[in-house]
Amino acid sequence: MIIDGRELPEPAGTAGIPADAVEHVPLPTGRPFELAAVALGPTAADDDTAAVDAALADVVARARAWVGDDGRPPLVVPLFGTLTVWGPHRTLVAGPADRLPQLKAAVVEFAALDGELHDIERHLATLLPLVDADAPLAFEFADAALSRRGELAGRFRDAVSLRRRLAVLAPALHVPAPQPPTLAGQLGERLRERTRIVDRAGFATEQADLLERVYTACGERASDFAIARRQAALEWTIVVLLAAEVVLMLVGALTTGTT
Amino acid sequence: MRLSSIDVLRSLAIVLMVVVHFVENLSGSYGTDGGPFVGAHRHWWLPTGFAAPLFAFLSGLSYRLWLDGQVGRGRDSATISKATVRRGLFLAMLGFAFNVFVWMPEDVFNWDILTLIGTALVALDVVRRMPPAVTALACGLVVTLSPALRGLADYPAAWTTGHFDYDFTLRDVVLGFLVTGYFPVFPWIVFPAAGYLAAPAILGLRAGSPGPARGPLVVGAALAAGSAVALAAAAALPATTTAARGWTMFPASTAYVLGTLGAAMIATTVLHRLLDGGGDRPPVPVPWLSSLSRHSLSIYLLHHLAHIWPLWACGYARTGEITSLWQVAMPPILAVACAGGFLVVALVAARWMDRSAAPSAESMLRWLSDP
Repeated sequence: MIIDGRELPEPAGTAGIPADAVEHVPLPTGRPFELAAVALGPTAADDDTAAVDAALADVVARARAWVGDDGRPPLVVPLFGTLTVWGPHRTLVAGPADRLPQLKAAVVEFAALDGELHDIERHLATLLPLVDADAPLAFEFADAALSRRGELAGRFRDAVSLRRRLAVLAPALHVPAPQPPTLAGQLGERLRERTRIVDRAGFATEQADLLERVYTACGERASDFAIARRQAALEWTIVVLLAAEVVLMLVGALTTGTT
Repeated sequence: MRLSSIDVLRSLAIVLMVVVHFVENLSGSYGTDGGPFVGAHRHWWLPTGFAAPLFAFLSGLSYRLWLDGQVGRGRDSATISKATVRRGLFLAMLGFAFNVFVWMPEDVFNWDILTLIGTALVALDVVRRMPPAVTALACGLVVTLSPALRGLADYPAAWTTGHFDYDFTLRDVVLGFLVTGYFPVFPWIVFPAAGYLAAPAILGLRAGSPGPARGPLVVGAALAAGSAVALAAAAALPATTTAARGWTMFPASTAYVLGTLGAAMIATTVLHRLLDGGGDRPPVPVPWLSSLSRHSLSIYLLHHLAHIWPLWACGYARTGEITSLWQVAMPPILAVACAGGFLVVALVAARWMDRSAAPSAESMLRWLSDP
């Protein structure tokens, strides 16, 4: 499977993750997200600490291999006897069977937030390099740029849309953890901290603000220019009509002056 | 930027102009029917009336290309204006000098094509600041007002036996410049202005434009249709002494202006599509015609010197009157042969000037005018 230009590693079955443990969760952004839930039950070897550590290390290694590395290495979050290996496209939760639903709910909620922010960041990354070329038009518009008005309007719409999405995202990112603390709430907090999602949202907001400022100014300049152009056309029309009248008068005067 | 289409059309204009001038000046006093060399008595086979409109239209088109080049080099508007006005004044002064040295000092204000193009260049410096719609309106006004102005100025009174005959008075000189000369501002300024206006659409100069659009073809066809309507209307209207009727170059009738303008627009658009490449098609090289086109100003000057000065010299030697052989020097077929010979020499000379970078009227124009 290829997501955002990267191919995810081997499918669940071959990484040692049971294929029937993987669930495909649709995110609001439309990006596919795979969530694996592995139940860890008590075994006879639980008293042997070394054996338990070795088993957990094996699970973590398999989970990391399956989650993959898309530029951000998978986050491993052990919490109250559970284990979460988080990646933006795949996540594995492991723990006692009765805690798996809470873990899954927390991961899906966070994946939706992260997916939305990731999508916004991706759009920002495509728009930001264009700002240098467009910035002069925020200061002064010219005839040559008239044909680009539609393009600039499109970028303004994109900037406003991104800013709106960030405005909608911000309250969800800053929602306080439930009290008294729950496993899901704690996992959500940990994931927010470890992925620095609040900071990223702040940076993205600054970038979207920059885009909005530049393209708002471009729109104003383009509008002013169009209005000035219409006024100039009217003024030139008057000048041309007056010039025609002057020529008529001149020819008339030259002719009648000698007859 | 050199475009093969413009080179081909400018070369065609030069060839037509040379042939017409040779025949008119060396053998043109009487038509095939023995009548005087005016109006309908011109040689029916002589392609008169097409070179000047094409030349003037291409001057506007070329100015737009030159202007875009200057803007592309980062020249500011004031520098461009200075260069434009210098070019215009150079051509106008050259036109006056040409009139004095070729047509005698008394013809200095006959308002020939060089003074028109010089004036047009100065006017284009204003036109380039005007919104295109206003330029189109101005062109329409010029075409519409020209017959009325000719009526006001009593055009026929300024012409004697098919030639512009003026007195050295302010009235005649100004009226000649505006209305009654060979190439007066009304309506001839329309050709360069239209060339300038149509250049982006014909050549696909607009940013992001995929190439030449159908617009110029449609406008050209509409102008040709307008010309046909004007011809039909002229036939239906009662005859007057002042209005230009039918298809006449002197004065430039409405039908003539619309028809030649439409033809120039269509020809330029079609040739641009055929010759200038675009997409995957490479441009078609026309090196010889490119040389001819590049030195069109020099050839314009030289072709007059090549046949008018010998004509004056022979006339003076034979009768003591320098214009005695004008239009009666030789039969038309011999004049056509002379024109052909001149064109061959001009072609070779233009190639030589290109290769040796020899000084020419064009190089002097650039040296004096360009920043």
